[in-house]
Amino acid sequence: MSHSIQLNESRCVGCTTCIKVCPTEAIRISYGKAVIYDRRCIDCGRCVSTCPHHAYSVRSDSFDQLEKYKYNIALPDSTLYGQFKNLDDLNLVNEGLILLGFDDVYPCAIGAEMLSDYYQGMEEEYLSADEILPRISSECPATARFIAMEYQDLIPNVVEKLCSFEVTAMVARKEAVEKTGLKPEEIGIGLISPCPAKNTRVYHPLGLEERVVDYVLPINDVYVHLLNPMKTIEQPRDLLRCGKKGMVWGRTGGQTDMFPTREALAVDSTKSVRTFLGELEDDKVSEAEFVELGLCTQSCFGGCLTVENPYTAKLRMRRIVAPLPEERLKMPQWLREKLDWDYELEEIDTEIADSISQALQIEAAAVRLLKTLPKFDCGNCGAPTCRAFARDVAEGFADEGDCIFNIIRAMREGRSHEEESDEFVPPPFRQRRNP
Amino acid sequence: MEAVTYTYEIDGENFSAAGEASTAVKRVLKKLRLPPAIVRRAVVCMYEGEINMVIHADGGVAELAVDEEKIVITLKDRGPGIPDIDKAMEEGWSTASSSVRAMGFGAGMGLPNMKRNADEMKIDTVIGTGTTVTMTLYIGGEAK
Repeated sequence: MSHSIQLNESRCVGCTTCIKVCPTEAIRISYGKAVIYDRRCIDCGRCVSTCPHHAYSVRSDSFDQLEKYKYNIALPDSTLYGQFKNLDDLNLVNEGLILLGFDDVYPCAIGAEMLSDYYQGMEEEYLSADEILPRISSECPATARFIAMEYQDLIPNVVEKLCSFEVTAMVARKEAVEKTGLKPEEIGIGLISPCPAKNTRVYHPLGLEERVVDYVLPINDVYVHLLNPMKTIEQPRDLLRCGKKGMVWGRTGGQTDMFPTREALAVDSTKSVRTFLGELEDDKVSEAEFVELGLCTQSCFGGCLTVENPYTAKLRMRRIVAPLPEERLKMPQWLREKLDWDYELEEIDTEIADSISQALQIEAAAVRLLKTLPKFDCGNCGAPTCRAFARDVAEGFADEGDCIFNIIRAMREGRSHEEESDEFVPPPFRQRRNP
Repeated sequence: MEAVTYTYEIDGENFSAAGEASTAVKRVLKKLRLPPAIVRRAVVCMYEGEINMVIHADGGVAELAVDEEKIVITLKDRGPGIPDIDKAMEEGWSTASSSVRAMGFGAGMGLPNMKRNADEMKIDTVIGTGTTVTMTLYIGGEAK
């Protein structure tokens, strides 16, 4: 499985902060440096935004990419517009992108508004009682991968259609070909992305035969490039094309707004999404008909490639989209046909055992070892929890002796006098003696 | 080979926490590559047993043991015991208090549901001492 999060080893001090925040326990510390287990990473970006030493980076492209194409189109994620202080016209951002070398701008909100029209138009069949409910939106690619890995019973609930940026890219390319007469491959489409999961989705699309976006620029990079050029713009043109409905799709609740009369629910942040998926899998939320899940706090506004704190960005968005018309776009017929597919999310298998008996052997060894561990989840062995460490040992990726408490125990046993045996241990770990 | 065993303490009279053990069991069994159908049945057995222990016996201990052939769930409590097992196995028969019923539990479907989902079920009960329910689900066996 490919992912976009990369470690800059020279910056990593092996502090164990990231291993604790990773929702899929995909990171270990080994020889003083973090190691990402590729098979488990879902590109949510928690490690990127939490690392105190900025040791993580996200695979993306640079502005050099624009030179490879005759005509470039920027696809700004809606969250880009919430990053700027005192922005009074959304089109200042769009014109700013033109000044940075793009020939046209198609906000991702275009695809969002079209998808919204599409889903609303088929509400009856889409949320019919004969279907597997609740329907789970797959707009957040990190959530989709989280479900494919940890909540496989829910795979049939996921409506695996195109993400809004993919729809936008397809519309942009088609219209650019018609407008310029260039070949589709002469047009460069660049997503301005809020998170590594969207980057991965660009490089490795799901259910599409080929990539529809040519390169990705992170919001934090584009933001700093935009600040000065934006000041020079006097009369921006309207390049937005869409209405309010598309612009707010990326915030928490943006998708549930599609179904005002339904039991539609929006959940965001890693912790809440995890709790919710567990309950959904255990059949405890039977009343829900439609569920929108954003793995970041305040959904896309909390993506680790954004600049502004998600709440501030959301507040600004609320103000700047207010003058927009409610909606301006419908899903075009040619795209509607493309969405009529049966693609189902593929399960991501992270277990190393191939048989029940091997799985049992590994688990038995892990359970046996776990009984001897302190359950402090201190992280000094490099694993996020004692349980994860026990599994690593049982799977052959770690050694029982890596547990600091086992080391202390061994040292204690080497001392002849009981009184002296704790001298080298820090006070919290000394054993209490009877007076 | 030896069975992998897990032990769960069931907190009596804590209805809001009831179901925690069956959720834990589900996570464990899924990781063991067991077929989804048997996992679902085992989770039902565990859930119903867990609720029974909370309603009638002030909690107890649940044990899950898995080997290559079978899943064995053992529920031990120090409750009042079951005076008439045949009666207790009847659908809809319940001795749950009205306050328990008011919360939506105690509909008299617990034991019948456990029996339906397990391949074998054994009840050892001593009045005034407690009850042990043992349920076995065979992994390669016929799906119920």
